[in-house]
Amino acid sequence: MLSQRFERDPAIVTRRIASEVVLVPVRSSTKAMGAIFALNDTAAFVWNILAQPATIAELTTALVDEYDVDIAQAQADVLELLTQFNEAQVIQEVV
Amino acid sequence: MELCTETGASEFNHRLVQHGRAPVSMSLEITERCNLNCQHCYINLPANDKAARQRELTTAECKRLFDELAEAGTLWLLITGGEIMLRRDFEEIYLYARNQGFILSIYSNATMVTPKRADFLAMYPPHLIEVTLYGATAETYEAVTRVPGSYKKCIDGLRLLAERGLRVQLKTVLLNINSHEFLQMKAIAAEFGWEFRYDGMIHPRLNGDRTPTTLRLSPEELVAVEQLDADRVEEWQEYCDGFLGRQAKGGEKTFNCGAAYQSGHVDAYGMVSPCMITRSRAIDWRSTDFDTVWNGYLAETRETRNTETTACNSCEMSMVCTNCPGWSTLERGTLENRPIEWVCDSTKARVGAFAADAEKWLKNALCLEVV
Repeated sequence: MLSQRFERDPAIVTRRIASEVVLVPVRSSTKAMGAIFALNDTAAFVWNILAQPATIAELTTALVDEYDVDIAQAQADVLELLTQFNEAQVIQEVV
Repeated sequence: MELCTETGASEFNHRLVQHGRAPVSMSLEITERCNLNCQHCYINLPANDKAARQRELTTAECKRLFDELAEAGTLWLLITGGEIMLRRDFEEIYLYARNQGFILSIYSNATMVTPKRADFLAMYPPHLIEVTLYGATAETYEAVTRVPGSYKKCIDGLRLLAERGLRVQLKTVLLNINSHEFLQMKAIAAEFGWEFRYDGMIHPRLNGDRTPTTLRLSPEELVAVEQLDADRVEEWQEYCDGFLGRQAKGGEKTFNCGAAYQSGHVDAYGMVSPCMITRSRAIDWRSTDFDTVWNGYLAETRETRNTETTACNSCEMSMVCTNCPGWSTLERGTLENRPIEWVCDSTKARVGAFAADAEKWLKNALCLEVV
């Protein structure tokens, strides 16, 4: 599972509005055209990495390095974020 | 991650306000030309007005503007007209804006929606399409638009949008020649499963022509229509409860809204103004760039201070009144709020109909003592 790779859905445009990071879907194939996906700092950090395909393990390591959290907590955060990104249909698995 | 849905949009925008002044919500008129000829319209020019077309922002200029708005932090963008689909490059302009990641709304009369155009919009759907319905019958609709056959074209266009599941809001302007069909227009929106909004506040044309004001309902007629709408009654009651007696418009600052603070408007020729109707304070974007316009001239405009005390400044009903710098400019020739008889009377009619202690507020009304 930790080797699963994910990347941003190319139909998502990332906007920086004031100090907020906002994801905007640009095609009808993506979920909830009326929705705004505003990211907190951690989510924005992970989203930034997902500009390139990344594994859960790589994302976890990056989070540990950036936020000084233990691996278990970082991995839980990454899984939670990926679940939310997936539900919002803003990422895709790279196979 | 915080996921803001439709209902969270206002909370999100409120949070953005805390970040300070930024052009979060902008509107762009890509043309003033229109295929309809509505009696009440404040802006329309004939569809075949070559001089107007030649002056309009080019495709390349629209794209440069979008680049600069994206850079400046615009999230919400409205593309309006005139009739936006009159422009041959509408799809190119629209798609460029779409791909910049704006949350797009468009205003259209829907009469130029073809199956192909509807397919395009379905492929790249906007956040919202707002269409004005001028009547619920061809007779009434076309009495407003003065174009035979336009009602059928509008309804056909609406059906094409509906068949593709596009998100549409119908709206109307309440006039003395169409308000008798208010409930039927609302029913048409309900049949489509769309929201419906309306407004009866008709102001002169931007060029000063007062013809549209002859189509206004009387204040009593306006309130009578609003009283047919339970939701609107509740909104006005809450509004009166919350804002009567407050004097936010009585401060030193001329602008008390989001104009030139979180929003602004660009006309078909690249003139940037605080809002759609406050155009006396506009500056040419073409010769410079949006950052310079927003942080220079519009920032200064936003800080405009009232130079004298008027009846509006001390009116206890000012916060439930629609008067604003735009209205005062069009009706009184000044940005500073000045009483406008029909607007004052409409406010008093609403307070009389919807406020809990109406008599108390009306007894103190100052609106027309200083004119």
